[in-house]
Amino acid sequence: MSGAGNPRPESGLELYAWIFMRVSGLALLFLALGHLLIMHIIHNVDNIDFQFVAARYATPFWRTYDLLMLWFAMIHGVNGLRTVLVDYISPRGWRTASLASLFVVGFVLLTLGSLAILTFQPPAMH
Amino acid sequence: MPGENQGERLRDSQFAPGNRPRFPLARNKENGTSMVKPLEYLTYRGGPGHWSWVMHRLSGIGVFLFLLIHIVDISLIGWGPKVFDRLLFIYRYPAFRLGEVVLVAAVLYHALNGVRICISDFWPETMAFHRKLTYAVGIIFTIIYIPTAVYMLSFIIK
Repeated sequence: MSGAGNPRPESGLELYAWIFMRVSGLALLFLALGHLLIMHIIHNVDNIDFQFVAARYATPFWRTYDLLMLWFAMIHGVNGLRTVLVDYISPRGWRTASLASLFVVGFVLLTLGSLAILTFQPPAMH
Repeated sequence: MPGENQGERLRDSQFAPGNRPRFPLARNKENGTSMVKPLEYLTYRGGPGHWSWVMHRLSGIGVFLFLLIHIVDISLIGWGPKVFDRLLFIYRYPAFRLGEVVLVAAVLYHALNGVRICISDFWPETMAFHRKLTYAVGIIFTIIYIPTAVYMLSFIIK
């Protein structure tokens, strides 16, 4: 076990969640830090607009990059927040309600984000 | 020996999730009635490990909440340049730029500390010098973040 947190789960879904957090975390180390470097430091919000994103999404590479990052980040975040909610909310009803809200919000936004990445049509292609 | 029993009990409870001693710093005091000083609260559960745990949670929650907003704002791309640019340009206000600099801190810290967690998990023998690893996270974070933050803040000023 590591430090002050919960011990490593022995088996089952919790073990897969534990492994996923580490694998997705290492993937996000490159995906998310790379994203920050490109979109917030090399480029920044002063020069990012519709045209910039349209040019970026004209090739499948950045769509794939963003889609991978979105899925890893969302599942990593939902599972992380699940741990936090389970730690602090003990009444059964509140716990169920908060976890259900988390999963619904996560699912809706993951769908919305995926649709945005996959269905976007750059105007230059028309 | 009552002292031994107490030691064993507290050692067990320290490692049992959900069964943590409320005032662990008083555990070495024989009568257990000593006051916990305000500074001792800051080192609850043993110094740097505790603080990295707290910051990992806070940065994780912060980044997650921003992710939710970020998905909504980027989804506006489907509504065309008028809607997208009008709303995205909100991020150009200084207050949001400042938030952006804080966001980078949260992501960078969470990433570096996450690497430390993976190292401790997959190579348990590194727990022998876990404090050094925790300090290393702080040092690497500072080395990367200070110049980055200064560079990002220079966009706001000009």
